[in-house]
Amino acid sequence: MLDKCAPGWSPEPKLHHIWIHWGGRTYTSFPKHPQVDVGHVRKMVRHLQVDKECSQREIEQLR
Amino acid sequence: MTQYPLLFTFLDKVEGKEFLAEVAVHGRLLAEEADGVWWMYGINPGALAATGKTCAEAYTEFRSSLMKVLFDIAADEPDFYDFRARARKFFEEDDKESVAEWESARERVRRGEITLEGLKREPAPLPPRIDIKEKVTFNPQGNMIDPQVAVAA
Repeated sequence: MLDKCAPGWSPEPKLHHIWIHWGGRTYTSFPKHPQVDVGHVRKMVRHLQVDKECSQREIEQLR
Repeated sequence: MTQYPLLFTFLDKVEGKEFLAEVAVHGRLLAEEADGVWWMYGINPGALAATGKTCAEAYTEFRSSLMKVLFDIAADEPDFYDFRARARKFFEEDDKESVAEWESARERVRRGEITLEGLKREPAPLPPRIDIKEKVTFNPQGNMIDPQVAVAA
Protein backbone atom coordinates (compact mmCIF):
# COMPACT_ATOMS: atom_id res chain seq x y z
CA MET A 1 0.00 0.00 0.00
CA LEU A 2 2.74 2.47 0.94
CA ASP A 3 4.66 1.72 -2.26
CA LYS A 4 1.64 2.85 -4.28
CA CYS A 5 0.24 5.59 -2.05
CA ALA A 6 3.40 6.95 -0.38
CA PRO A 7 6.23 6.46 -2.87
CA GLY A 8 9.62 7.03 -1.30
CA TRP A 9 8.52 5.90 2.17
CA SER A 10 11.18 4.25 4.28
CA PRO A 11 11.13 1.91 7.28
CA GLU A 12 13.60 2.28 10.13
CA PRO A 13 13.61 -0.68 12.53
CA LYS A 14 14.19 0.27 16.17
CA LEU A 15 14.49 -1.85 19.28
CA HIS A 16 10.75 -1.84 20.04
CA HIS A 17 8.94 -0.54 16.94
CA ILE A 18 9.45 0.17 13.26
CA TRP A 19 9.53 3.85 12.41
CA ILE A 20 7.89 4.70 9.09
CA HIS A 21 9.09 7.91 7.40
CA TRP A 22 7.28 9.72 4.61
CA GLY A 23 6.77 13.32 3.59
CA GLY A 24 8.84 14.74 6.42
CA ARG A 25 6.71 12.97 9.02
CA THR A 26 7.37 9.85 11.09
CA TYR A 27 5.06 7.17 12.44
CA THR A 28 7.01 5.87 15.43
CA SER A 29 4.95 2.98 16.76
CA PHE A 30 4.39 0.52 13.93
CA PRO A 31 4.45 -2.97 15.51
CA LYS A 32 7.25 -5.40 14.69
CA HIS A 33 5.15 -8.56 14.80
CA PRO A 34 4.17 -10.06 11.43
CA GLN A 35 0.38 -9.73 11.77
CA VAL A 36 -0.64 -6.13 12.38
CA ASP A 37 -4.18 -5.08 13.33
CA VAL A 38 -5.77 -2.70 10.84
CA GLY A 39 -6.09 0.07 13.43
CA HIS A 40 -2.32 0.51 13.41
CA VAL A 41 -2.37 0.90 9.63
CA ARG A 42 -5.32 3.31 9.79
CA LYS A 43 -3.52 5.52 12.30
CA MET A 44 -0.26 5.38 10.34
CA VAL A 45 -2.00 6.39 7.09
CA ARG A 46 -3.68 9.29 8.81
CA HIS A 47 -0.56 10.40 10.67
CA LEU A 48 1.62 10.35 7.57
CA GLN A 49 -1.18 12.10 5.66
CA VAL A 50 -1.24 9.45 2.96
CA ASP A 51 -4.01 9.88 0.39
CA LYS A 52 -7.07 8.27 1.94
CA GLU A 53 -8.72 7.10 -1.30
CA CYS A 54 -5.51 5.46 -2.45
CA SER A 55 -5.01 3.63 0.85
CA GLN A 56 -8.63 2.45 0.85
CA ARG A 57 -8.25 1.13 -2.69
CA GLU A 58 -5.23 -0.88 -1.59
CA ILE A 59 -6.57 -2.12 1.76
CA GLU A 60 -10.30 -2.74 1.85
CA GLN A 61 -10.47 -2.84 5.67
CA LEU A 62 -9.52 0.85 5.78
CA ARG A 63 -12.93 1.81 4.33
CA MET B 1 -18.79 2.63 17.22
CA THR B 2 -18.42 5.01 20.18
CA GLN B 3 -15.56 7.45 20.64
CA TYR B 4 -14.35 8.95 23.92
CA PRO B 5 -11.99 11.95 24.22
CA LEU B 6 -9.56 11.10 27.01
CA LEU B 7 -6.87 13.06 28.85
CA PHE B 8 -3.96 11.21 30.36
CA THR B 9 -0.81 11.88 32.33
CA PHE B 10 2.08 9.43 32.35
CA LEU B 11 4.88 10.00 34.83
CA ASP B 12 8.00 7.95 34.28
CA LYS B 13 11.75 7.92 33.91
CA VAL B 14 13.75 7.14 30.79
CA GLU B 15 17.34 5.99 30.89
CA GLY B 16 19.59 7.07 28.03
CA LYS B 17 23.27 7.32 27.25
CA GLU B 18 24.77 8.76 30.42
CA PHE B 19 21.53 10.44 31.51
CA LEU B 20 18.28 9.79 33.33
CA ALA B 21 15.25 11.81 32.23
CA GLU B 22 12.13 12.44 34.25
CA VAL B 23 9.20 12.58 31.84
CA ALA B 24 5.66 13.86 32.38
CA VAL B 25 3.38 13.37 29.38
CA HIS B 26 0.11 15.31 29.58
CA GLY B 27 -1.57 14.03 26.44
CA ARG B 28 -4.84 13.40 24.63
CA LEU B 29 -6.13 10.23 23.07
CA LEU B 30 -9.29 9.08 21.36
CA ALA B 31 -10.68 5.82 22.73
CA GLU B 32 -12.88 3.86 20.34
CA GLU B 33 -15.05 0.85 21.07
CA ALA B 34 -16.60 -1.26 18.34
CA ASP B 35 -17.78 -4.88 18.40
CA GLY B 36 -16.08 -5.58 21.73
CA VAL B 37 -12.67 -4.30 20.65
CA TRP B 38 -11.09 -1.17 22.07
CA TRP B 39 -8.61 1.08 20.27
CA MET B 40 -6.67 3.99 21.72
CA TYR B 41 -5.50 6.48 19.09
CA GLY B 42 -2.98 9.13 20.12
CA ILE B 43 -3.81 12.77 19.42
CA ASN B 44 -0.77 14.21 21.20
CA PRO B 45 1.39 12.32 20.64
CA GLY B 46 -0.19 11.48 17.31
CA ALA B 47 1.94 8.61 16.02
CA LEU B 48 0.52 6.01 18.33
CA ALA B 49 -2.24 3.37 18.41
CA ALA B 50 -3.00 0.49 20.75
CA THR B 51 -5.72 -2.10 21.07
CA GLY B 52 -7.22 -4.44 23.65
CA LYS B 53 -10.29 -6.46 24.56
CA THR B 54 -11.20 -3.98 27.30
CA CYS B 55 -10.73 -0.25 27.77
CA ALA B 56 -8.20 -0.91 30.55
CA GLU B 57 -6.24 -3.40 28.45
CA ALA B 58 -6.02 -1.02 25.48
CA TYR B 59 -5.02 1.85 27.79
CA THR B 60 -2.26 -0.24 29.38
CA GLU B 61 -1.00 -1.17 25.91
CA PHE B 62 -1.12 2.50 24.85
CA ARG B 63 1.02 3.52 27.83
CA SER B 64 3.47 0.73 27.17
CA SER B 65 3.73 1.64 23.49
CA LEU B 66 4.31 5.32 24.25
CA MET B 67 7.10 4.48 26.67
CA LYS B 68 8.69 2.17 24.11
CA VAL B 69 8.80 5.04 21.61
CA LEU B 70 10.62 7.13 24.23
CA PHE B 71 12.99 4.21 24.90
CA ASP B 72 13.72 3.95 21.16
CA ILE B 73 14.46 7.67 21.04
CA ALA B 74 16.72 7.40 24.11
CA ALA B 75 18.63 4.56 22.48
CA ASP B 76 19.28 6.69 19.40
CA GLU B 77 20.19 10.06 20.85
CA PRO B 78 23.69 10.84 22.10
CA ASP B 79 22.73 13.01 25.07
CA PHE B 80 19.88 14.39 27.18
CA TYR B 81 19.32 17.51 25.07
CA ASP B 82 18.98 15.60 21.80
CA PHE B 83 16.66 13.13 23.53
CA ARG B 84 14.49 15.99 24.81
CA ALA B 85 14.31 17.67 21.40
CA ARG B 86 13.37 14.43 19.61
CA ALA B 87 10.82 13.45 22.27
CA ARG B 88 9.18 16.88 21.99
CA LYS B 89 8.94 16.52 18.21
CA PHE B 90 7.33 13.10 18.65
CA PHE B 91 4.82 14.53 21.13
CA GLU B 92 3.93 17.60 19.09
CA GLU B 93 3.46 15.89 15.70
CA ASP B 94 -0.29 15.46 15.31
CA ASP B 95 -2.75 15.52 12.41
CA LYS B 96 -5.76 17.78 11.84
CA GLU B 97 -8.21 14.97 11.13
CA SER B 98 -7.53 13.22 14.44
CA VAL B 99 -7.64 16.49 16.39
CA ALA B 100 -11.02 17.35 14.80
CA GLU B 101 -12.36 13.89 15.65
CA TRP B 102 -11.26 14.31 19.28
CA GLU B 103 -12.93 17.76 19.47
CA SER B 104 -16.11 16.35 17.97
CA ALA B 105 -16.19 13.55 20.57
CA ARG B 106 -15.65 16.17 23.27
CA GLU B 107 -18.70 18.10 22.01
CA ARG B 108 -20.79 14.94 22.31
CA VAL B 109 -19.61 14.48 25.90
CA ARG B 110 -20.58 18.10 26.65
CA ARG B 111 -24.04 17.53 25.21
CA GLY B 112 -24.40 14.43 27.38
CA GLU B 113 -24.64 12.08 24.41
CA ILE B 114 -21.79 9.87 25.60
CA THR B 115 -20.45 8.98 29.02
CA LEU B 116 -17.74 6.64 30.21
CA GLU B 117 -18.61 5.44 33.68
CA GLY B 118 -16.05 5.62 36.44
CA LEU B 119 -13.95 8.35 34.86
CA LYS B 120 -13.59 11.92 36.05
CA ARG B 121 -14.92 14.65 33.73
CA GLU B 122 -12.47 17.47 32.99
CA PRO B 123 -14.21 20.58 31.65
CA ALA B 124 -11.12 22.80 31.52
CA PRO B 125 -8.12 20.74 30.46
CA LEU B 126 -4.71 22.36 30.16
CA PRO B 127 -3.11 22.28 26.71
CA PRO B 128 -1.27 19.02 25.99
CA ARG B 129 2.43 19.15 26.81
CA ILE B 130 5.46 17.04 27.58
CA ASP B 131 7.80 18.03 30.41
CA ILE B 132 11.26 16.47 30.36
CA LYS B 133 13.88 17.18 33.01
CA GLU B 134 17.29 15.70 33.52
CA LYS B 135 17.40 13.85 36.82
CA VAL B 136 20.52 14.90 38.71
CA THR B 137 19.39 14.70 42.33
CA PHE B 138 17.62 11.76 43.89
CA ASN B 139 15.25 11.46 46.84
CA PRO B 140 12.06 9.54 47.68
CA GLN B 141 9.87 12.62 47.07
CA GLY B 142 10.58 12.11 43.37
CA ASN B 143 8.52 8.91 43.28
CA MET B 144 5.13 9.46 41.65
CA ILE B 145 2.29 7.46 40.14
CA ASP B 146 0.07 8.44 37.21
CA PRO B 147 -3.04 10.49 38.00
CA GLN B 148 -6.32 8.93 36.90
CA VAL B 149 -7.30 9.25 33.25
CA ALA B 150 -10.14 11.76 32.64
CA VAL B 151 -12.79 12.41 30.00
CA ALA B 152 -12.54 15.85 28.36
CA ALA B 153 -15.87 17.65 28.69
